[in-house]
Amino acid sequence: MSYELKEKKQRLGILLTTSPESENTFTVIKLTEAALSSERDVHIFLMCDGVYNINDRNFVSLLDKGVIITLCAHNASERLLEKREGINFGSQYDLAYIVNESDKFLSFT
Amino acid sequence: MKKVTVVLQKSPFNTLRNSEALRMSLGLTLANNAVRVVFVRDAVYSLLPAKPDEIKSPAFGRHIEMLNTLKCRVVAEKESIEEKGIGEIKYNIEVKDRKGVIELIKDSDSVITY
Repeated sequence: MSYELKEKKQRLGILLTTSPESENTFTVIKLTEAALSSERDVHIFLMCDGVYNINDRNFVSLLDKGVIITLCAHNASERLLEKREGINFGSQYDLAYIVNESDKFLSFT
Repeated sequence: MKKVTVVLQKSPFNTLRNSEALRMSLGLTLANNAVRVVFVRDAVYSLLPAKPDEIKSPAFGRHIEMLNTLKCRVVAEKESIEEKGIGEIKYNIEVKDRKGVIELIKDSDSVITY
């Protein structure tokens, strides 16, 4: 019996707190695409005005590429944003685990 | 355990971001993270005995007190305190010089600036 040892994928965590008007959104999209192309898993957490990025078509298209997007439901509720398919409406508890379990964590604030 | 440092830089009275950063800092303690919060530049105004709720600004003091209760390190930069002329500090915090703050940041696994 042979066992194939698979190398664990590196995980990149990203915090985005600015709205889509900021250049941070473009940077996060391009950085995420680069990370995916080098076989990394990417988990993005949105909070503060960053939750508005779920209205940005280019940003949301990252879901189709396998990115996990979670946002702070409290901030989304304050901004009257409704639930979207594919986006996790979570809490700061999720961010705590993203930070803890990522090999690299970047913040765009 | 991961060492996570949250650096606050902005004045607390013209933005909700400081309050949100402190709420986030508390949230970060929910996983196996050693959370440290550092106040630099205008953010040291957050440490004054002010009553932000009287101008309908979020009351962030309870977050700082809860960070104390959870034994998280709360640090203010000495140079910023002196530059802004902060006399009375309301909270139980460590005061470190710039070199000490840089060492704390260098010693972190993750840094989140706000």
